[in-house]
Amino acid sequence: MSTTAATEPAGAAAGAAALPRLRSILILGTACLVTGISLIPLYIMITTALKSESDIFAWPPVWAFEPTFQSFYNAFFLFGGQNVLVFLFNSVLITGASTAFAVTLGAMAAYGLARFKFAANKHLAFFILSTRFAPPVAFIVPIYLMFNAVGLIDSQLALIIFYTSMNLSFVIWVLRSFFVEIPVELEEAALVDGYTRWQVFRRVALPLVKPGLAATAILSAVFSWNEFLLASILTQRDAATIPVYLSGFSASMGIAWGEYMAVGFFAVAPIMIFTLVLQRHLVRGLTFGAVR
Amino acid sequence: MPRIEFDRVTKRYTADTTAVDALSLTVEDGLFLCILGPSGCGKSSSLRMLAGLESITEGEIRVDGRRINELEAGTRDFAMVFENYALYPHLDVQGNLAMPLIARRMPRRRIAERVAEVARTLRITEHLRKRPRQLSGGQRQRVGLGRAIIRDTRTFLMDEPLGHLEAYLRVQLRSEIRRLHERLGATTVYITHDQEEAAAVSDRIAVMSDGRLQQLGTLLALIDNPVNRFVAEFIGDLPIVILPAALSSDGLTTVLAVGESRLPLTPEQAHRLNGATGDRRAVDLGIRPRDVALHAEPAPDRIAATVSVTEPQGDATVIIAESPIGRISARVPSHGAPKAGDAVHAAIEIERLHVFDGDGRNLLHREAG
Amino acid sequence: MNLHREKRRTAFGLISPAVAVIVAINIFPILFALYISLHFWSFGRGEPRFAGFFNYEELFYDDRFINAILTSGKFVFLAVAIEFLIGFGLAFLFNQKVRGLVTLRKIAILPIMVMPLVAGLVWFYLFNENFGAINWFITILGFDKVAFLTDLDVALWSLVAADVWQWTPFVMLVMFAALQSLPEYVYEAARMDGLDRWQTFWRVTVPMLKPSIMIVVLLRIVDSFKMIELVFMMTKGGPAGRTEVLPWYLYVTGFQSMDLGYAAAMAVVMLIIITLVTQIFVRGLEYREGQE
Repeated sequence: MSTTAATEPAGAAAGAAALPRLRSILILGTACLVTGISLIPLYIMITTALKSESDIFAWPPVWAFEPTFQSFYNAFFLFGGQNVLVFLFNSVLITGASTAFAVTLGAMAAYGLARFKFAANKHLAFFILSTRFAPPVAFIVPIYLMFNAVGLIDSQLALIIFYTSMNLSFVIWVLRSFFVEIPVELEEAALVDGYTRWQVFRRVALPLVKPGLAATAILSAVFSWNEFLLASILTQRDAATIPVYLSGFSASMGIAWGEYMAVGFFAVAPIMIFTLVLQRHLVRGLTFGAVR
Repeated sequence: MPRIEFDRVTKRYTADTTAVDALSLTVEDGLFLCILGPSGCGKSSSLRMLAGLESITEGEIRVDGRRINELEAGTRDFAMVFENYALYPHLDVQGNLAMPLIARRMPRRRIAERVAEVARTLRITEHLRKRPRQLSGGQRQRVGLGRAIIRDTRTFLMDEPLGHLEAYLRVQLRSEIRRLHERLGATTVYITHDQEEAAAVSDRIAVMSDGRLQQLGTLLALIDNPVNRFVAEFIGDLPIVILPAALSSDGLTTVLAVGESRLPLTPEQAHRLNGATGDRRAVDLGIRPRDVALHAEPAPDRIAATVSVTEPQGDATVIIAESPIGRISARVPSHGAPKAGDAVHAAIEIERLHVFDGDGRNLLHREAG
Repeated sequence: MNLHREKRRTAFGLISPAVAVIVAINIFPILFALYISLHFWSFGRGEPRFAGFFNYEELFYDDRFINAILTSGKFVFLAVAIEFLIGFGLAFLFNQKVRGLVTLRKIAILPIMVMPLVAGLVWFYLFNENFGAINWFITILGFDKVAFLTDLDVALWSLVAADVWQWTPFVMLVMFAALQSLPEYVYEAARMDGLDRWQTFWRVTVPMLKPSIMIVVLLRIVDSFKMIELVFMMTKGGPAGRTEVLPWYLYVTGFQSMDLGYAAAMAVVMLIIITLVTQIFVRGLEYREGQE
């Protein structure tokens, strides 16, 4: 019994990748449900920020409403005053600086640990990794006293240093496995050509771990931007970041939901955009080496 | 012992990518067939369709007369040996060997017995507890072979199993594979791009190129009687000599004009060529180096050339000479061989020459019986 | 000889800046905390007085502390278990070859980026008894309103829900990356060996995923142990200490009661707990990798 193309079922011929319709629909449906669950709270946040005060407290909740920017206005110009820009500035400065330091120092250390053999190498790497697990809350008392002693309370520098340290362990962990993956021959060839070790690091090794640099930079920035506990401990007025601003709200105002959500939106939106744009670096950076 | 038939099997990945084009061939019971060809010729795709790892776009594959196109890979009763071993990295050798039996829910004790048996046959008993990453390439492939033979199936599909091994290991393992094939009375389909390996190990060779089967036969048949220029050039330990030529006939005799030389053709050759070429008189002459003899004196049927390179190979030497119409190589006895720069005259053994038309077809190809 | 020394110096130069920061922020505070924990000291009320192990003894008999440990344990267990089970399943879902899943996945990951403080805020709003959307949904279905944040038995679950919302996508992302990195050839071998889908899953996929599973579970255990933002925003430890996890109790003790010695002792105990847990995991991981 021979067959020709005419009798061959089109589905099978179209390739093993084509799943039966029903299954695809179920899968897509579940994925939509999951994505919806992820988005709903964020949606609620935005809509609440845009609602008038009466709409916010309405019961049953109002789904169709007149959007108003009153909450935004209040949050930025009435409650916070000029401080809002200060908070924003602090957050951006501290996040940027700590990320830059963490990735720079971390890449150097990761390279050093990956390429140089010395007795303490494994132990050092393990020690650095273990600092990722320490809960910051356990440090709040001694860290406060330490920074107080050197007069760094309520300064951006304190948080920059602290966040750099917090991010370093993660950065080193990820980048080290990246560097280990690069074939040594490339660097050896450069050495033979007369490059110094430092130049080899900068010009040969570093470019090759770009996905890792991107992924760790993103995650470090997110951590620094979002961190609340130590920021509230170490800063009060001059160097306070957005999370501190957020947490301080309820104390003074009862619960100003609209304004709260408005600030929350601005706390979250930059990171969202940042991440959506740089998404692929994240997955690529994670799959390359670290999560094996 | 199954008989495998490919019936106009075609594999298309997209509208313009055809990996295999209407392949038809039969593998008899107990045959060791090698599919030979350059990279991208479709041999791997053909094997994978047979295995069930790729879907079949058109055509049918039959085993003992039954169509198997729709059967899932594991149910076809084939065992496969992969090019990169495809061992389970998280299992030790014992675990790897046992997996096909675990899949069939064989009782544990019986599995252990079988694993020990196979390990003994392939001499990997000492590695049973090791992980693949702790083994050498040769050992890994032995495990791959073990996994294939542990199941009592009689059909083996091997996709360039020796490709990643060093030369001496290739030689060693291929004879082991051949012995296994004979001992088990198996039918084997074996992919390779190495013709020496193909010749050493198989009963028949199927040469593929561009997704199509070019020729099926023993190595000798492929060498002496290539169906087209591709097969002639692909097969053979020394590259075949190809020279542009023209048929010339004055009614009584037909000669092949090669540059200045005139090669007299046998009556049979003349008859076939005149019938075949019609008005097209330009052809390509093909001759194997061992059928070329070098002389010091010129003659009308000899081609004049100058020796450029000599490659001594023990008792014989390969002479490469440049003539006005192309490069000629000849294999001559080392004793008394010409030297670089010498002027030589190449005599072609007429009985053994091939003539290819513009499309590459061998006009002097003799159909099998 | 020179080469050796140059290598040493380069390695030192590369690694030491990062290590210096890490040691300053991690080692000193621990030592300092140990020191303080052996003293009576309330901030602003005189000098620290030596107390020996008194603080630790106090902790041992402190019901509130025991409650904090148990509450933390419950929270971590519930959150991590749910996040892992759902996240693991979702990873497989998003690994299917269905069109649209890639985009959906990118959106589904967004909760990870949200500032935990804001997440707490939004869920605080959602769980609100009087105008929260969740209670609205429940009443639509015909049930009575639930006091999500003030009911003794429900409060902790509400926190777990917020944590699950935020971090399940993280588990999904890590497991998805791991799934993607699984080599295709192993699955071809499994097909040829005749393994059915169940067998393939348990005997091939899961064992190969074990390292990633252990990493992500460890990370989630450590991070959920540290969680404080949700408590800060949603329940402040209530009702009746039902959501008072260790970090919260520490925070209250250290920065509201200002009982620094006691807080330091608590911090030390927290560190011991987390070190034990991570050691068990990391040793398990190393052992496994050593076996391979």
